[in-house]
Amino acid sequence: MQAALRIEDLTKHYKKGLREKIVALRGLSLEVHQGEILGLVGPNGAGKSTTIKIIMNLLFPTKGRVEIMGINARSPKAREHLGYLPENPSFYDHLTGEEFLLFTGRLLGMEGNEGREKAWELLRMVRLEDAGRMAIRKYSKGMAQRLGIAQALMGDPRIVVMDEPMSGLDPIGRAEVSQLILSLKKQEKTIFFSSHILHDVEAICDRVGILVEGRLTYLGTPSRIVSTPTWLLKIEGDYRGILREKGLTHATMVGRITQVEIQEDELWEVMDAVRGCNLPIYSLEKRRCSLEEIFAKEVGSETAG
Amino acid sequence: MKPRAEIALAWVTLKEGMRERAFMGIMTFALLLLIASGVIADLSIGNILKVTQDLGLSAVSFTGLLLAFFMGTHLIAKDLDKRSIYMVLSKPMGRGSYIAGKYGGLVALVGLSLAFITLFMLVATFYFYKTSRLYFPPQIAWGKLVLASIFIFLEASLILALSVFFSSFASSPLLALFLTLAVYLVGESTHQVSEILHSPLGQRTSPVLKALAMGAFYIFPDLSLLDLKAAAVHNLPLPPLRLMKTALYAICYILALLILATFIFKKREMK
Ligand SMILES: Nc1ncnc2c1ncn2[C@@H]1O[C@H](COP(=O)(O)OP(=O)(O)O)[C@@H](O)[C@H]1O
Ligand SMILES: [Mg+2]
Repeated sequence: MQAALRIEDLTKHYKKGLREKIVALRGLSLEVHQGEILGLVGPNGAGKSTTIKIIMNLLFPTKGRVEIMGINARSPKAREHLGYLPENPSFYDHLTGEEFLLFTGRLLGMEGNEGREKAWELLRMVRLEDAGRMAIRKYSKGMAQRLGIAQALMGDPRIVVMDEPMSGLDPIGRAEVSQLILSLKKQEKTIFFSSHILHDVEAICDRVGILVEGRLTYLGTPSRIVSTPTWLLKIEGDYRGILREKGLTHATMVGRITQVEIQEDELWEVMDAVRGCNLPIYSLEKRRCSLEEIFAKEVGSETAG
Repeated sequence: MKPRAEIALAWVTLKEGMRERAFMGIMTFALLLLIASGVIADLSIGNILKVTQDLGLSAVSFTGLLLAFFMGTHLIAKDLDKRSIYMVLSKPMGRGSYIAGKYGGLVALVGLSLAFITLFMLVATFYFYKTSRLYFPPQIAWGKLVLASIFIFLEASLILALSVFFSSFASSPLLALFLTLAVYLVGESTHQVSEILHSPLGQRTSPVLKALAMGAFYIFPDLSLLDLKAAAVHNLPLPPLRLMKTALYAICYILALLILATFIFKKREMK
């Protein structure tokens, strides 16, 4: 099957002053399959927004190319398949949500009635039906984000590209956006989105790409990113002494909490050892690598490029 | 195919422009100017009707210029700066549609404003005409007053096209404004300069300078052609053929600017 999105050897330089340049992307290659959710994760400045803006023809590649359903991104026809949510979307905010969606519909060549129906369908879908007649100026960050998603879906695109759809939202807002993305997948749409938070991505993505300094360091299923998880045991109060007696020498104090990291294969052994001590256990949680750790190491097996 | 996208963008631009503080400021200023010109005309010893028309048309012209200079550069810069332009350019339309829609909205904004102010001016002139204490009130060339306003609108449209053109590549609105202003100032004087060059005085200027000046005459818009204020106030003849040629000249100039702007804008990255 044809790739929904094909990014080929993409390189992007930004001019900085007369001589200097910033290299934002270094030969990035990536294919997004039809119907999948692919999340692009990376720290700030990794080149996520640059990649997405090149897909949307807002920026032009220094080298390489991008194809959308086989059409070069430079052609307006490519955008017939694309919906786009910009990072921190900004609207003509003297309009109401409904008016903005109608405007979007007209930009897409829709008639008044057709547009109005679609607009309200989407407003209901992103739960803005009560705010549809309110000026966008008065929207909260979360509402603006949801309107941005609705706007991206106006033309019923096959591929939805979102730049940091969850940034700046509270946990409930994040969960809502995650749900929305999953419901789009059910409608057989392809979703390509970026995030600087791995947690947002791993729960809903079919595949994850990790972008560091303009290079893809990992491309594959989210479960493979974290090879061997560890456990983090937290105990209320200073129990480093007792733990040392039980052979756990690397316990640390964080505030009033004693923390100790336990390897996956030692978990039960350790728990048995401390059972009799009647420790006021605060929590025991599975600890995955922090994003920094993942970004720092080149994940071996499925590394792309 | 209907230009639905362009019309939608023009409509949104028009509505946005009307809500701008700068727009309200300029319109308030224009009305104050018109009222003040009425008072001045009332006080003046000369022909009150002539003075009313003269000041009135000047107010219309001044408003048209202010709106064209500021709204054009401001609204495009705002779109780029706030990145609301992403919402438009991410749709399957070309950059030319953006230029056309934005320009259409700006022209509508300036056109409606000038129509409103012209109406106000005509009413004021009519009032002074009716209450005039002159034994022989002069004939007022109502048609020519309207015609003069229409040509002021054409001039403002041309300046808007200049500001759109310069905004298509200038990195800051101030630079676009400055360039528009510069071309306007040159455009206002090319006619005089060419007249001087064709006069006996011109015989003595160096040929290089002369060639440069003539080049400028052809590149820069000849804005003095569009100024019918004096002809309207003094009821001078305005041959229709000349008017039509002048209007056609302005429209061609505008189209050329918009086409160039589209070419440049296509190459511009939206950072
Ligand atoms: N308009 C620009 N001009 C110069 N450098 C830029 C510009 N936009 C982004 N960059 C640089 O390119 C790199 C990638 O930026 P970006 O794509 O925005 O990263 P991300 O979205 O992953 O945070 C960064 O180093 C950033 O500083
Ligand atoms: Mg970004």
